[in-house]
Amino acid sequence: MYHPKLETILQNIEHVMIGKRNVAELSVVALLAQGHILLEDVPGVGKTMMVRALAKSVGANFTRIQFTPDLLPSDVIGVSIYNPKEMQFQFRGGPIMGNIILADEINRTSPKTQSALLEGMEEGSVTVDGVTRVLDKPFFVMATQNPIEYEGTYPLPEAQLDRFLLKMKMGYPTAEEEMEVLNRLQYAPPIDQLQPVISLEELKQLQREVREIVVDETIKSYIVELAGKTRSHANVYLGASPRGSIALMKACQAYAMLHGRDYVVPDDVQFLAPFIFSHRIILKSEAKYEGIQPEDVIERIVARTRVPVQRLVK
Amino acid sequence: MRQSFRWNKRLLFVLYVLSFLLLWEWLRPIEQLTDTSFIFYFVLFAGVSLLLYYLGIDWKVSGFVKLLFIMIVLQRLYFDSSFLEISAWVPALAVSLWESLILTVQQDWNAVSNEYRSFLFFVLVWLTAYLLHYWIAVRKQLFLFYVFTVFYVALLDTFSPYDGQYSIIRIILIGFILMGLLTLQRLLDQERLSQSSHQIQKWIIPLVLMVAFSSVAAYAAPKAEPIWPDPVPFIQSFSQGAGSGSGGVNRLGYGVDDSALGGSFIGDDTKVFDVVTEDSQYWRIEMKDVYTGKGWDNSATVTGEGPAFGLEEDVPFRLSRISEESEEITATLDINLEYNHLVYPYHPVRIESGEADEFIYDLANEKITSFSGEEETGLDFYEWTYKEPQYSLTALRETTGLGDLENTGEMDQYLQLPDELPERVVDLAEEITADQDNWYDKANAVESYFSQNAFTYDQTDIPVPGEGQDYVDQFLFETQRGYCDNFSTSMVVLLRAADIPARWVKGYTGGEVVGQTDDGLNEYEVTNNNAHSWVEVYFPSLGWVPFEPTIGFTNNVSVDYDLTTEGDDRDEEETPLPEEEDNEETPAPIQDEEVTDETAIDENGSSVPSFWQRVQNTFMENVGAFILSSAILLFVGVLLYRMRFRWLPRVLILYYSVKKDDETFSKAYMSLLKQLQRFGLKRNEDQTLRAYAKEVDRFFNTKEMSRLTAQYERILYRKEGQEEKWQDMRELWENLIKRTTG
Repeated sequence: MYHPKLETILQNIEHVMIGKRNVAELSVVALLAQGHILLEDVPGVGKTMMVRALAKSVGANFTRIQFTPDLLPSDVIGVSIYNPKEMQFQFRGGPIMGNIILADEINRTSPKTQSALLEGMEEGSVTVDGVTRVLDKPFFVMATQNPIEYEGTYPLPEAQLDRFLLKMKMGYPTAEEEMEVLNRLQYAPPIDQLQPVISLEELKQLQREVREIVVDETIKSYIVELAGKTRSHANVYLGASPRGSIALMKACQAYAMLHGRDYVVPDDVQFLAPFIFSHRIILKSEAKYEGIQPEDVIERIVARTRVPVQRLVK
Repeated sequence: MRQSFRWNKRLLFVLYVLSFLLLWEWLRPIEQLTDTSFIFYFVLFAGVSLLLYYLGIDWKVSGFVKLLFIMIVLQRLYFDSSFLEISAWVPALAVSLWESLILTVQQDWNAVSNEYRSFLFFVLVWLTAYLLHYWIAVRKQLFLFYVFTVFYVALLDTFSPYDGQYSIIRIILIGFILMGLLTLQRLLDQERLSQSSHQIQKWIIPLVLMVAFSSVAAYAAPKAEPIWPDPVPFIQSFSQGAGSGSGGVNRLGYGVDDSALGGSFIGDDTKVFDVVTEDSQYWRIEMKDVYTGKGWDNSATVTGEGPAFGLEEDVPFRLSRISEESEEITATLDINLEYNHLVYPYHPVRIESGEADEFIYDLANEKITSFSGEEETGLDFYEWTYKEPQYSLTALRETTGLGDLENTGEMDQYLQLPDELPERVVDLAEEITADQDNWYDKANAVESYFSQNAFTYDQTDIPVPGEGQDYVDQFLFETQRGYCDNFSTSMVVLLRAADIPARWVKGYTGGEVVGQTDDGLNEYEVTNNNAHSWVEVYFPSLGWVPFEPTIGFTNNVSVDYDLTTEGDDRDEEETPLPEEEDNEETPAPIQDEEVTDETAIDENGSSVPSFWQRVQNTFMENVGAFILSSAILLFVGVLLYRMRFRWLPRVLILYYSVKKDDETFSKAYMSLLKQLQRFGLKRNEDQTLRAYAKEVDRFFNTKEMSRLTAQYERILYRKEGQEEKWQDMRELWENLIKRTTG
């Protein structure tokens, strides 16, 4: 019951990534909702492969920024270089000028460089030497970060985390999946065989259509109730902002479209809420010490919220 | 492991012992209430059976042991020969059992032999022991049996002479400990806990302490008086019982000997006669005039003497004076239980027909006996012509003394009282009648004394007066509980103590209406339950006037409200009424007054209070029926409510098959959700409809719920129209809801 076009993207990704259906779906959701993804995981589980497959499937150009502590903002957004021949400065765009960008280990670089990328994500444009340059559309960033406990990291500030539509983890494949990975990669990486299945124009068209997906009042109130509960939960220091609610609604629309529906059901909300909210709430220190994860809190909130099964009574 | 096994065995043993004690409580009343003797053997048998079950002995062996036990007991009880002389008793026993079995099949249950009865009872005990074993060892639940035990003892305690006071305490103690231990067993089983002695003690000690403490507290605590004193009299008076007889537990009905009154009664609805007449009235048989302190006798030593009369001749006696011009009424009696005496109405005129030559009115006891030639004979049919007496209220109220009869000694026999009559009875009589100046009001005061002072009507557990104790005194000051004999005798004695001539009358109440004839007459059925006794008071100007002191009974006595002097508002007509003797002739407005002890007289008749009065009376009279029917209604209601998941779907299907509007689908879907929940498939609050539908489908092994839910989602979350969808989906919905009835 998937959207036929979007399903081909999923199939493409699955061709490369084995057993990561959820991750693929969430990526497509973020792409459709014009959001960005924060992937929190250790190196080597296939983040790059995943993004490349996605980029290839939609025929977008793919760039990758490997963040290091000494990376400068200009290394991200680009720099004007003096051209002696033409006697003027010429702008050479940085990696941010692509359609689909993998920002690897974003928390390894200094906040200054981080914010350069995040600004671009938020504004859809970058300003270099007083000239504002609009970034190409679609513009989709998939940033990865090492788990925060690692040494030598600059954790992203909360305000900037909010810029990401959703945060997800990839996780290790199971033994069988890993076997399959080995089999497939024995001769040639399958990524080379991938063909675009959807044009950028079509993708933009779909991004516009996502907004038309029906979100009933009951669903909206369900979303609002969930967001509200994150603010009053005992373990939470700072709850999800209204931007979080908006993000959840947009993601739900994209998710509904992906599943071939033109209306959102509570299942969408329940599935997406942990991914949308978990990086938007800050737990109290006590809760952190007790080993409670933000995802657990969100799950508990969902489990205690009544699903709307009837018309709202006015 | 070994230890826990031993503990388990011990716990089980305790359970069996307790259940044996509980079973014993069932057998205890049997000895007292029935003529079963040697109950010891049955108790022993119950014990042996439970022991065999506890030991887990093979059913063939244990069955043999039990049969052997039964044989030995039957031999001991019913045969003289020694047990080993098998040829002497086994064939006899076999024959006896076989014959009784045949009698059982023929439904001649009274004739079966005692051996057979004992044998059957053994079998019953056997079955009960097996049930107990099953409940303890297999089900590990005994609540049902426990509740039945409590009900059994409570019912016996209420309705029979059996005193369950201590029995109920024992049952509570045994029962709660038993159920507590069973719960422990169940928990240990369910949770697979190790049955260490330590854990079991942790449970048992608080349990025993708690049961012991609460029992002691309950026993020692002061108990409030019941709000509703005793429901039994209401239930029993509802079945219209009354009686007369002497001592012990008796069956209701007419009896001759009233010299020792008291004791309990049980109802008997054997029909005595049918009567076709206009109105319900009391049927007289005889009167008695000598109160002995224990019961009633006649003062006349010679009986059987009195005026004789034949068919269609006027009867040679009058109980009261009455206008000769009153309307004549006939009553046709169809007798079922034949006696030599006749029952007669209050103002008989003549006997129209009947299979007898001559009737004698016995002056000694006012009994009418029928003769065929010289032989006393019973009639199976006769017809009375009679008049309905009406007593002038003026005349009633004017009577304050015997007048001309004062010193003749004629009325002395009706003022007789035994010398041993306790003084407090006389004092009470004076106290009751002190405020009244005439005999009628005094009689009314005595009549209503009982209902105003928490006397209750009851037929069971009525004591017989002890040696040196007066029957009336006991009733008035000690028991305050009794049936017609108590009330009527007491009223006569109280009236006599107040110097008003009165006597004790026996007969039947009016009976129950069973039909109507074509000419508008009623047919009444009079049974042994209608046997009754009441009071007659002598008014010099009127004769004998009946009174009804018994609570719950009403005699239709017509009193003519011919008062003009006092209470003008009662009588719109200003017709001067000359002499009371003639009052009956004047067409004064007549109101039938029910002389009952519960009805307050309300003649100026604003209709609302009297309506409420009537409602109240109806309620009071039928309180048993009301309570019974509301209990039944409640029970049925609760049952229907508990079983609603079985019948509600059909109602819903019917309801939604006619309903077609824009909300139907939603409503139907929601009621399906509720029904599924009743069925046991509960949707968690956080469960989405989709997830729930999958669960339901998995349970029923279908895809129907998911299909239906998909449509409902479109309605709910996409705001699509319902009406068309409902047309398509109704079948699906019906299928689903039908599944929940299975």
